[in-house]
Amino acid sequence: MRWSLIASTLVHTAILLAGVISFSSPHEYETNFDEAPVVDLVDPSELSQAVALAKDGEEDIAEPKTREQKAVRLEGGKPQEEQPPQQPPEPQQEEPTPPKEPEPKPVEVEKEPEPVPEPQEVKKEPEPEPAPEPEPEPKPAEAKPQPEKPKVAAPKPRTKPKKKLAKKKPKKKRKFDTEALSALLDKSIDETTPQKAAEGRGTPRKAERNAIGDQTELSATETDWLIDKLSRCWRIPGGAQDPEQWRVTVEFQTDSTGQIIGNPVSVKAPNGPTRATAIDTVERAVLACSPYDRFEAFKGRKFRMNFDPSIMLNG
Amino acid sequence: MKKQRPNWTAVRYLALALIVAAAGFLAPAEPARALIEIDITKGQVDPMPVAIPAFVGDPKFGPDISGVISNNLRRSGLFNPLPPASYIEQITDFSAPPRFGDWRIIKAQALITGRVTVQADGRLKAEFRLWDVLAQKQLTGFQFVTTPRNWRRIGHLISDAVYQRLTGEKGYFDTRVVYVEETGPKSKRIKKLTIMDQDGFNKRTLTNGGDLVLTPRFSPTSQEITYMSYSSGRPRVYLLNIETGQRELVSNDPSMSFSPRFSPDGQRVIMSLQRGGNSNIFTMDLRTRTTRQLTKTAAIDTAPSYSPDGRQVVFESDRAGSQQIYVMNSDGTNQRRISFGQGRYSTPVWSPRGDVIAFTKLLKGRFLIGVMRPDGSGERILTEGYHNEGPTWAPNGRVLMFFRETRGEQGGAKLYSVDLTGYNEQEIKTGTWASDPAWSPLIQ
Repeated sequence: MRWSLIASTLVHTAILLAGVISFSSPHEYETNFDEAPVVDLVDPSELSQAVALAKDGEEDIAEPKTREQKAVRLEGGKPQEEQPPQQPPEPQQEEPTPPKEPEPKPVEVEKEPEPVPEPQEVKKEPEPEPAPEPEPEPKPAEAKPQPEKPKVAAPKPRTKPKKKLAKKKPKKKRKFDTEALSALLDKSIDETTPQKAAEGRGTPRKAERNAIGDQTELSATETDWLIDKLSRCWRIPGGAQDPEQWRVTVEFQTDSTGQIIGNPVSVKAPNGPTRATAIDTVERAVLACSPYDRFEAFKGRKFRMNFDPSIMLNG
Repeated sequence: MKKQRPNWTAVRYLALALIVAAAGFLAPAEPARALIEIDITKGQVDPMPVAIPAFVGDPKFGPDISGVISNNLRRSGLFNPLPPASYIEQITDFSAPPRFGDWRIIKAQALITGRVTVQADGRLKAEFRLWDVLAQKQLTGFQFVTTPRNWRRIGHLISDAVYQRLTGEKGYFDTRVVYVEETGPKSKRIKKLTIMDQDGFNKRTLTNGGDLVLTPRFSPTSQEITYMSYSSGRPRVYLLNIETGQRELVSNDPSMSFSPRFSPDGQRVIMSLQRGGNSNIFTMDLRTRTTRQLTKTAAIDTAPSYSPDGRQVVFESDRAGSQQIYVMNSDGTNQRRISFGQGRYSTPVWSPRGDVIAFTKLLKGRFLIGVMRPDGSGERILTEGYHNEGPTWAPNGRVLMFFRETRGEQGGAKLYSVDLTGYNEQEIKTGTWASDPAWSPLIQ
């Protein structure tokens, strides 16, 4: 009798568990959340700048001849008979102007490739703020960007939308922050270097995907703000051409105030002569943009940033 | 056989564990704070702000060398040296680490500190460190010892080290430029070959101005120059040793020779020879003094330039009716036209990196300097003007120098540099009119 009771209890519990596992995520009624399209506020002056980038009309001006043409055609050149193989020419001496001052001899410069050893005083100095232990770093294999994955490959618990809404309610009660608004609208960098900024403009596909909330739980506004800010902090040396050499993925963590904990860690970088420089530019960008305190969602978080100038450099 | 009684305590624990597990599945989980992953696909190409305080130590050489570095980096267009008046920290001790916070306040991203001392033997010792202000770490540091006379060169070497560490590209500051210095009225110009540092300092004339000289080109070792001169009454190609001043005729062929350039290994000179009314491209082996004809057309083939690996040659030809750019194998085979845009193309020069070819383009009365890939694709115009001509590459293949001539009786030619983006155009001050520049390789 008792064994039967025990068996019955176990079987029912197992069925219950199986049911819970199997039907824990029932399909919800599909609700099409029409994401607000990302709209860029364009100042009329930017339009005029774009127009200014176009080349001026060419004017017809008398064309001077090239130097070499002049040189050759000055001579007139009578037809010459082809000569047999030449004998070694006789060296001719012309007295070049003797140098007034002795030429610096490059060989006298001794270049020591070793870095200057750090002075003792440097070692005595405390290291720049020891970073608190960050979360265990994901393996590099996990650090791969996920461009191949279709958007539907990142399922989210169905409960999330409701929770998000619940979480966002208190945010709506926030005081209207005019400074933050002006920061969002601040285009000073673009205004100072309109042509160069124009180079980097565009509508990156992956960035667009981020902007509608894929892969992260940031809102489109938060994501867009982050992309915009980091794009302004990321300096790529002018003349850089091979985008492969500048693709770097870094990870970093923020504390409860939005400050970066320690330094960013590169988890993916190209193997090449520019590797160190590429990593430096990206780490500098992340550090220059710190703190990440504009939105609460940035605080106490772990970030992975995939820097890829392909669209910018390839036009 | 005795019937075994069940262990009720174990059963209770088992049931409790199952219930807890089931509750765990059923309870709505608080979502984990997911990793935020963002793709950044655009950045800025504006100059990096750097701070270059006067090097400590010797009161004359210290500020002078840091000044050379500052000017070099500014002219590159990739760096923006911040005004010393904005510095909060005054560097007085080279051995002490800088106060990074002070440099971050003024928006410096890199800091170059240095010390210059005159040693007991009279030689100059210069040390420098490049700091990453944001990451608060030293990126590189070197020391150089040389005679005081070479103080400018120390500035160039440090500039190269900084440039390479911050851009990933080799620097080009420790280089020289040979060009044609022009003086006198436009109708009666005196032209001399002159050599100078790439920043316009340390000028030295190489010829006396008695003959018209054109198109000087460096040998791969920078020790020799090949150029064209009218000293024998007709254009002939010569070699000139920069150190000894010794000059020799490349070929005693009586026909006109012009537009010379060294092969990458320095063993040959490639040039045009005019025979029978046509100009074709020949090479001259400098050891055996034998010539080899590469093109044979009833046209003007000129301005040859080797690819960096020496396997191909780019040149201009009007064989199709107007000046266009052609590429051929270095033995003269597989000649093919690569320029098909509007206008006339001339003076092609292969980049030291091999990725593009610079050219002069004449279109509707304007001269343009541009680049295209070796297959003719990707044409980009970098600069234009009334008369731009004669592009020459910096050894890192990222900057071009050329000359621009202004109109009128009072006009003349000046040297300019422009980088591959086309945005950073700078005049190179020479003090006189100047044309036909040729950039040296990195000084060995």
